[in-house]
Amino acid sequence: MGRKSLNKTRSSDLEKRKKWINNAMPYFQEYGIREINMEKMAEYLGISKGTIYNHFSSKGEIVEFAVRLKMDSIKDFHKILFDYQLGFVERYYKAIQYYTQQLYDISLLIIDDLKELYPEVWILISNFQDAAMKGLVRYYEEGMASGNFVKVNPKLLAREDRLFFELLFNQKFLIKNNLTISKAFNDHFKIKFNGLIESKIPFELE
Amino acid sequence: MMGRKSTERDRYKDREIKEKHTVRFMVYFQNNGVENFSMSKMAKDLGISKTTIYNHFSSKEEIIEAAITYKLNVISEYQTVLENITLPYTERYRKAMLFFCVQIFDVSNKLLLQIKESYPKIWIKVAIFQKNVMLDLKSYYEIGIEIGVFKSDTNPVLLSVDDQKFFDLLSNQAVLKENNIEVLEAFNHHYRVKFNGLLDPSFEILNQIPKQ
Repeated sequence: MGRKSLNKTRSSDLEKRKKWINNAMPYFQEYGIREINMEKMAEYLGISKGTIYNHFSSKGEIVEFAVRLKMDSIKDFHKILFDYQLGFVERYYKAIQYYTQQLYDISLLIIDDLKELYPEVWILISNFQDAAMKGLVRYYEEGMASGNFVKVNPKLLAREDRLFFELLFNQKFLIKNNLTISKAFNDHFKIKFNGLIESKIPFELE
Repeated sequence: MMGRKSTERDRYKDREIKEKHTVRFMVYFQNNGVENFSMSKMAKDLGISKTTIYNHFSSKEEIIEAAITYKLNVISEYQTVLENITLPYTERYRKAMLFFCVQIFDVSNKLLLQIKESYPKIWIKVAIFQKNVMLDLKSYYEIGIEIGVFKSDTNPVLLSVDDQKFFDLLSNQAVLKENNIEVLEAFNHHYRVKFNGLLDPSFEILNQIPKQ
């Protein structure tokens, strides 16, 4: 009986859960997800431990909810990438800037821990990245068809973006080189679109 | 004791033959990996007698080390090209790194991982080599920026790490196979986009980048 009523409460208040998990992001960033301490987390959120358990049955559920929540908002990058109100290059710039910043939150949490402790949640992220790459491939193909881009391999272009995203997860690297996400992103963007060479030297391939 | 001594002498007798074997071993490792590596099986597969192998090498580890060292020496030829001042600055990169990529393409991530796990001492050599490649590239970009070939607001560290990521992609042969991309094509792609950008030259980007 008690179990039943619990489930009812759990399914009802989605907004409340969203709010808590959003508020808990800085907590995850500080303490990670390896050893979530329910008491500390409750204290941090200013609610009782009992209340948390009313809404989440396990720590795993909390982590999964947090990741899903984040991915739900990252999804919007597709909307920006295909927002035809924006300039062609602007679409990429704004979409990927948004994507990297959002994904960075997840990476702060966890990436490595997720892989190890909650592989099923990690698969969600991995699938999500695959879908993002498909969107990018479509964007590049569009750009080549419209003549904005030179004709190169769209799949490789998307793959390179993914590798770059992984680099952004590497906090040690960023700190060591005194880089921020946005600095690194701007560099990536400029070189990818305009190239490294100072004044355009006519390009020739043998 | 006596026998041992004469073996030692034989080992140094013919460097040329030793190197010829080493080249074949490297190719063998590229195809078969070094995990569960059996001397008898390799000797049989290559049609060399085990005794011949032992005339030149004293252990499995020594064989693998010789093969890897040989490969690293070949790859390191890229340096001469990268530093060849008779070539235009961008050509130096293109020629050197094309050679580099074709060479490293043979060495799969799988083989590298096996070496890392089973032969940490040999792995150190590989790791140092990789680090030096990064340093070479970083200084190539730094000088390029200094002499005005490259844009001054770019970051040499990011530029070299970007290359490293690309090399990793090549070593992960599955990705290229999946997409049916040849190593030469992949390199040309990388070079072209990196140096000249993705935008068609007739397309004016300056008006398109949103202000920060």
